[in-house]
Amino acid sequence: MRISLFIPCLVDQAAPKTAWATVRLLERLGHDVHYNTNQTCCGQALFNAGFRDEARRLAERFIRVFRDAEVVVSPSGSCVSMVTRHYGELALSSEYVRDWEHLKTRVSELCAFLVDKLNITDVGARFPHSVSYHASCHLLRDLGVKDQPLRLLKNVENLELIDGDWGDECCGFGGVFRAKFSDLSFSIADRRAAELANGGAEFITGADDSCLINLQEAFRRIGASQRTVHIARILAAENGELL
Amino acid sequence: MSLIKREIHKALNNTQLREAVLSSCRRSVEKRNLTSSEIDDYEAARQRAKSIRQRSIDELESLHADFRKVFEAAGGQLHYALTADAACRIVVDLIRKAGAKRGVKAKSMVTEEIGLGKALTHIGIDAIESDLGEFIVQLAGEPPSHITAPALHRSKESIGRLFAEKLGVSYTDDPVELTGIARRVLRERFVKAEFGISGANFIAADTGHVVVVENEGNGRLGAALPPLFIAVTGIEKVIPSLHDLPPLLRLLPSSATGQRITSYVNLMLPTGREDNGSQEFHVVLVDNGRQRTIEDPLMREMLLCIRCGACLNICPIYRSVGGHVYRSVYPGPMGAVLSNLLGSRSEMHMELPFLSTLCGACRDVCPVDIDLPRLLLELRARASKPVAERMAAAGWLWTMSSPARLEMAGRIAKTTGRLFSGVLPTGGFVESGMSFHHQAEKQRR
Amino acid sequence: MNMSTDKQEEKSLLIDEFRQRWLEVSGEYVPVESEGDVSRQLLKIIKHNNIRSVVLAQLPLLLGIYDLLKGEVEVLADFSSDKYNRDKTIDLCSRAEAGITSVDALISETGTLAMSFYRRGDRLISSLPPLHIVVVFDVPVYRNMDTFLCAAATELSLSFITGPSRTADIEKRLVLGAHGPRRVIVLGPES
Repeated sequence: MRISLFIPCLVDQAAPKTAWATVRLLERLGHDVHYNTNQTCCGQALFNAGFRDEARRLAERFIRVFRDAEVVVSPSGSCVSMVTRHYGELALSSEYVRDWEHLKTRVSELCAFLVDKLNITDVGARFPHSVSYHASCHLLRDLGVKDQPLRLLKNVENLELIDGDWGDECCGFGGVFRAKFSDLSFSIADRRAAELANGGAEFITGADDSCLINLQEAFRRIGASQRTVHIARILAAENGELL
Repeated sequence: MSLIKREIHKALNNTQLREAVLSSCRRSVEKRNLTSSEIDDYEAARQRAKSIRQRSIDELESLHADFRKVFEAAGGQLHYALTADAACRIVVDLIRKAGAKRGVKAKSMVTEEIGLGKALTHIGIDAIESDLGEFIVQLAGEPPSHITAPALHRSKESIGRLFAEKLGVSYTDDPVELTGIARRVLRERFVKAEFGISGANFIAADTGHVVVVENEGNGRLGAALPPLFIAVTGIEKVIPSLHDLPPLLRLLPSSATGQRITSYVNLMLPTGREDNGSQEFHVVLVDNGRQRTIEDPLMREMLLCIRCGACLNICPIYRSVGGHVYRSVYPGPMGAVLSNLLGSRSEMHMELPFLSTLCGACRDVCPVDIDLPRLLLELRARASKPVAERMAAAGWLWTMSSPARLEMAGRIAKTTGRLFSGVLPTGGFVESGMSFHHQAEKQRR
Repeated sequence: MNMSTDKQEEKSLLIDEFRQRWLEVSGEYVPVESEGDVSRQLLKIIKHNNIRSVVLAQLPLLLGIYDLLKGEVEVLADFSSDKYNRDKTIDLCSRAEAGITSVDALISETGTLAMSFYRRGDRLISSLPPLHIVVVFDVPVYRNMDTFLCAAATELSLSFITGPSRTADIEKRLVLGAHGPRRVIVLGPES
């Protein structure tokens, strides 16, 4: 299958390994992975900050870049939900509306793509570590992707999945929220990090690097030893080591 | 620093408050999850409740006319107030005309919204709050911090000290004893009350019933004992039929307190007033921005709200700092929206929609399926933005309009320490080195 | 009683469900074997709890109870006058240690008593005394509030009562008897 990668600007700049892991994983599964170097930001940051017009222009740009792609896959629940759910609220110019209607059904988050579209739950990965999963909010609640990441993790060889009763509370990131109310954002992150750290896993994984970076910082603040790592990197691990 | 930011800072440093709020919210959510899991096909029940509320809003005018007809035929008097001040004036006039001085109030967020307490105190009318939580915050001179649990931010010790100081009783921090003290103080006031004021959860357009959902029994006492009874509520609280009540009640107590049903659900009519104790029965319907909201197609969804408070309990922000930081009568996600729709909206309230991570837990837990994140985002779009933010947005758009600019901006940011306008930390938390884009391009060459 | 066996069986299942739910909300339930047993059980409750004064709703069913109780406790209800006296009712209900009423119906799904108010002072009798005793022998039982409302006379004020008055406003600790009765005892059919 010819797959077009949608690498969110945050992943591109702050977590390129996640992008490489996504490439390696999909190629290992036998797919033809393409990356359109003209892509930038889906517009979510501007949309969440209340700048609709500016966000619309980036949305239209996104649609131009991806309109001919057959299948678009992204290692971010949050940015996929922006494209598939929120572009409709942006008053797109009429010439883009139809393209978006067509495009939104072809854009998937990585875990949902593997499990729901490819029907794969065992990607042939090996990762001999204990791992807990943090559900990122937009993946869980906007896209309704709940069990798929867990099913993928359960099939990773030698991986010990530590599940707890810590629920699915937000890590407190929220993008513009974190910028505006950093004390409060940190406090929520610290609480969430403490809950996850109590589970005792070495690694905390999830499907959004924004949340994982936020949590990594919180683990450091509370003096916990946990490392956060994007699920794509675990799924790409073949010989037990992260990319 | 804005007032709200200062309040947040204060709350974050108040360990007692934070513990009280967090544990209360957690307990409420646990109980809510338990009872809502007992409901057969919860999603269908939720959509049914939503469609009832939707009809209420869609047919508001004719439902009001229906309600007026039956309610007045039963001997009640209906009043309509366009603004908060007008609503207070109506209540004040009714109390004055009856020559009353002392009365009891049951819980009502609308009376908080219109500032009725202050209006009554101002002219020397004594209206004591009879809901235990409201009684506590009234004694403390504080606003309620939660729409269904007004004193949730207080520990039992602080309530014990408050009672000792204000009521002259000896200190106890036993909730049973504290409740007993309030019962004794308030019972005396109930018996002597010359008027009773309450809110209403719903009013039924086909039968004229005023529905008050409560646990303590103060709602029914306040309506039954005094010769004058006034229910103050929002115009949107009308429901088409009394038969619409059970589907709503299946979700309201469950979402609010995790009960299958509250101890009392009172369906009150003015008929047989002699039997009910009250001689006069009034309903004051308050607009205060609601009609304006109904006419706003993107915001009217907010009026479906049945004030259960579930979105407060589950909100990562509310449970971290409680309700007072919102500086609004209605706190939490629903409050961040409502305070920008009702009454005289202030500059300060425009900050509230940003006080959210948009995690969506509020939408999931809402018994009438209000898309609160969508409403918060809509209000963010409408808020006026400071110049610095407008410039940052323009800068972002310029940067993201070209992959080369994004690449350049990324490199500069990594050397200065803050990525993405300060949204992300650097310092070892993000990967150093080249971006994916740069590496990919290099590889292609 | 000319109910078919099926109907009787259904009613008995509903009563069982009511009873279970009612106990779950801290209500109390005393089974009575027959109508005649009601007075006996009532007296037992009154003696057992050292009740010295009761206020009694004006009900045909309860008139027999009035005669029965007269000798045992101070009965504060005033049946002598047709004229309802609000202040007097408040006074009597405030002094009484127990209020005795019946109800219109039971709702099994939630363990709820449905009580309408066309009788004088019933709301106060069920609100003011610390103990509320409810005689429900031979009242209809509905599965849920929907079915009750379809059958009920909706031109009256109604209360749905589910257990004693309660609050959890202090640290979410459940306390019974906030403003209404601390205890509500239902005297109802065995099943």
